[in-house]
Amino acid sequence: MADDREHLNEWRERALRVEASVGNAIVGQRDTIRLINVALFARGHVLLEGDVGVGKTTILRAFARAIGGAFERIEGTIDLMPGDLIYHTYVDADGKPRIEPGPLLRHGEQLTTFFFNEINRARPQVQSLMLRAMAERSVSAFNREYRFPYMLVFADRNRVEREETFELASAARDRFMFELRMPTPTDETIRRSLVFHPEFHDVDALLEKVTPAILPWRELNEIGAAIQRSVTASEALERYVMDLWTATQSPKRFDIRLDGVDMDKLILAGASPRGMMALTRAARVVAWLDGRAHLVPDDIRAVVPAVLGHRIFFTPVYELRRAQIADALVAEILDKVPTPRS
Amino acid sequence: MAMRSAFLQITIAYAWMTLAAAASEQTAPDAVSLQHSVEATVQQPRPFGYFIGDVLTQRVLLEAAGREFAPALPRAERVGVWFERRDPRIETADEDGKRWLVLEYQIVNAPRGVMTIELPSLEIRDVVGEHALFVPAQAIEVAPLTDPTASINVAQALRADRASPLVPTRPIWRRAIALGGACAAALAAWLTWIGWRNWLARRELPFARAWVELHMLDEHAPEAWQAVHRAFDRTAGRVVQRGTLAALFQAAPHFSPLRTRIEQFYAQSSALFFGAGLPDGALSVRELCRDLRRLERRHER
Repeated sequence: MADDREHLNEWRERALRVEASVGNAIVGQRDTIRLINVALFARGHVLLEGDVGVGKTTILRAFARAIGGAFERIEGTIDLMPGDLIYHTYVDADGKPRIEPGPLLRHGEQLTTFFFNEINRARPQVQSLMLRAMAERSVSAFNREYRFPYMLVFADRNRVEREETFELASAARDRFMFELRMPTPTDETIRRSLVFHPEFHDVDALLEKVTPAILPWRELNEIGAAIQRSVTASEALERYVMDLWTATQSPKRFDIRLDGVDMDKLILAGASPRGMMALTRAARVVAWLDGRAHLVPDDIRAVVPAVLGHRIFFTPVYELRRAQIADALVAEILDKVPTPRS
Repeated sequence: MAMRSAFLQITIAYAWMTLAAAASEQTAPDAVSLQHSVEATVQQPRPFGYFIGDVLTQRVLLEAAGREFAPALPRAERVGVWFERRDPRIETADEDGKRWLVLEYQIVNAPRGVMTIELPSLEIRDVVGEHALFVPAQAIEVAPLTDPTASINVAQALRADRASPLVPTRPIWRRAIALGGACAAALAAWLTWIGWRNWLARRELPFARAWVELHMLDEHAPEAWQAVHRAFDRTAGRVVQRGTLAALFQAAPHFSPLRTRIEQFYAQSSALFFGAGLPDGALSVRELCRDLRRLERRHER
């Protein structure tokens, strides 16, 4: 037991080193870095959304480098087909047709980070294949099953363009543990550095600053499970999480109201059981990173927007205004659901 | 008595005639100056129907031999025994643009009977003194306001004041008392309502409510801590947790003096509900609530 605790402490040091190392290259994104690190140890996939050019790809490449293991990336395009993830064909120098494994299969079990750039530009067929790989960490190809037990998918999409894109289905979004919105830095000093400091202009040189392969990645799943076992939740905390779940389904029960929104007609479906599992898994990692063996409400609050924001489904009337309503609703839920309560 | 009255009347009439003669002598035009005078075009006042105080208006066209005449304005002064001349003024007629000197005389004396008096003639010189306009005299008939021969019996004329009719004041008093009573009752009711509302509001203040709840609870019981949590939530208008204490102090800066104890409360509450349990030497929730209630009441005043 004591060995377990010591082992977890060692890993906590490593996790914080990953965070610090990525933070050396990526400035002004401390919250995003912390949440990606949380997802890494909660073994959850991350969908990153933000404006063009805020550094979504750079931050994910930095994490891939710090994590170690094999890294693959693919660009989402409208003509990308599911087969393009599995294999590719070509004629070799001897004029013979050849079939080679695609980016998903190329590294086999050593694949730790799969980066899907602009996932919403890929067709739904491609997304479906990817979602199966995310959920089951396996795909079937060439009459056998390929497994990627250590794979985490980091996907991004820019929120500026909507033309020639395929919005992810609700079930697909539910597979991502976090949907993170990566903001443009607001701090004046950071903004000035980004614009004028040459080191931020060369991404490859910048990524060199990230210490490679900090983590023994083959142990990640095991450590993830150990973290979940080691952090406990009290009865009061469980009640709080249950109340939050209820609030996503029936906000009015907690007197949650939004201006200009008929709360009776707002919610189509609240958070899913998978979403609530993701919430507690992520919160446990937050507690672990904070050096605690028990959950407190602030751990939950730290991950609620990233976990639940995309998991509450609105009726069609309000779905078009999701961008404004989802954030306001989550904020109201956090403001109105009391804890501790009897 | 009759002889004495007749003598008095004769004497007064003589005095008037003497005064009238003196007045006409005073205002008669100078014989030499008249040789250079031109008779003015004058709009004379009505010749009859005047009493003391009436004002007569004489308008003199300012033109001599077809040329414009620039007059030296006559002074405002007493003119004989009958008239007082006011400040003259010059008006320009709208219809033809001609200029008129307007002379106003007020009758300042009262005749004993109807009589004719004379508005004296006047010579108006120009500003350089070379030419003059002559305004002829005008006979005016004046009359007294009352008949001086009418006999007045003073004893009859002077009568005691008629007594004012007495208004019955009893109903007015009754109404005033009823109205006053109603006003007093309304005021008392209003003050009572305000007092009751304030009392209720004070009782409904978050920590006042928590204080009442705490009286029915063991202060070490989790419910007591929860009651204080709810009071903090109500004060901040949102759920307050350890990580969001800033919101509490933003909403209730009057709690700042107790910041350390409040932070201690949240740390110990976290241990009680989510961690290893309440630590030894935990703070007294009741004392904290009492102090917060005091700050809250002081702030509400």
